[in-house]
Amino acid sequence: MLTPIEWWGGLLFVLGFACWRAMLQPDGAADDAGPDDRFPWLVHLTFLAPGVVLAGYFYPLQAPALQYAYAATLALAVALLLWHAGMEVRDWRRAGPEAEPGDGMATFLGFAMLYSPLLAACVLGCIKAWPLLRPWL
Amino acid sequence: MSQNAHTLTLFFEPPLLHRQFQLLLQYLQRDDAGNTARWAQELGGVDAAQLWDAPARFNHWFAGHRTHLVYGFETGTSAPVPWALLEHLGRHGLRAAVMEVFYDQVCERERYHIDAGQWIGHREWLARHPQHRALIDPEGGIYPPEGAAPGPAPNPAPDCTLSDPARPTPVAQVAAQQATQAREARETVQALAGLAAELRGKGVSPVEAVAGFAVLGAGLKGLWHAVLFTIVTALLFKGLWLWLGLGLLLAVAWPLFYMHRARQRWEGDGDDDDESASDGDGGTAPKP
Repeated sequence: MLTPIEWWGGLLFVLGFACWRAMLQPDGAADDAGPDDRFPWLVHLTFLAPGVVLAGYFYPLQAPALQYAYAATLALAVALLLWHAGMEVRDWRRAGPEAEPGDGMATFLGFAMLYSPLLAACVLGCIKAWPLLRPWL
Repeated sequence: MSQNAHTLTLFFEPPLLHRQFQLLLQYLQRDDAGNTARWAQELGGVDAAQLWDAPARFNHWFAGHRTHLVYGFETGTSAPVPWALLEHLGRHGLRAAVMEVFYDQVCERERYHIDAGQWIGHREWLARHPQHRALIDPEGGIYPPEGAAPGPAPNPAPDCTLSDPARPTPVAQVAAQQATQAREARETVQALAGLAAELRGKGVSPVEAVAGFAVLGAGLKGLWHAVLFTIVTALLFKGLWLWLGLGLLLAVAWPLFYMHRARQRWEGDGDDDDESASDGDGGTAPKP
């Protein structure tokens, strides 16, 4: 093993990679998402930032500079995730009258499955960064 | 029937050589075999057959002038640009040339400029031979005017493309590349035809064989992905047995999935063909 990443962290990475590939597919889940078409690099960053956060979770970040960098990456990952979630909710509301009755739940489940690895990475990052962030909050 | 008309404006030096080639082409035009052979020998073994009787060339014509010779012929639309002919003439004293191909299918022309055995850009050619400008462009509508700013200037003649290489390229190299491409294309066609005949001899449909290769390729692709996944995950993450087990599962599942998808794609294409065939034939069974 070249890294101290645990097996469950590896599973999260694999799931995240699969979701990222699914997003990039022409007929993928986010194909009709407007903002993703306009900012394709933002989609990559949305997956890359939680990936860095997840990898950092398994390393002892002793130096203060590393801790601040970790907190900044975490903030970026959370912000991107919230932005994506906001866009998805906006699109869902716009398509509200045309949507079929069961569509709302299906969209929510699909969204939850697609972004759950990212959410898990962000939660783990928050747990790790909590001692650093506590004095600020 | 559509044809490509080739016009070669040839400049030979010294004047004696120019005169000898003029005589040779005149005799070729008159179909005078005796004098043709004599002058071809005189010129150091010029291949008269390649010059005039190359396969797929017809409607030859020739006009001799004091400063240059103009030699034209027509070919089919699939015939290649006669680089081999220019390379052969270059070995026998051709100083410079302008080759124009008129594609009558689209009513467009293309020009190539040759100097000292090299295919060069038209600007460079005109800079080296300013005295020939009026000969190759008597009406002045093909080339940009003299003193025009360098760079991609708009071409004065929209139906004429000036084909310039990225850098001066020996004509021999272009001819060799053309010959290699032609040989490879011929060999590929022969190999495919041979394979199809062999498969037909064994009672296997060539289409089914190609589909089989595609499905096999998809299976190998799935296997490769599984191996790659196992190596990367086992190296990066803890839990060696988990990744090995998962890799083993994927080594079975991925090839099956890819093969199924490839098979579906081929069968889907076949269904489309059948539908279109039955539509076209008014519902009759498609012919094999």
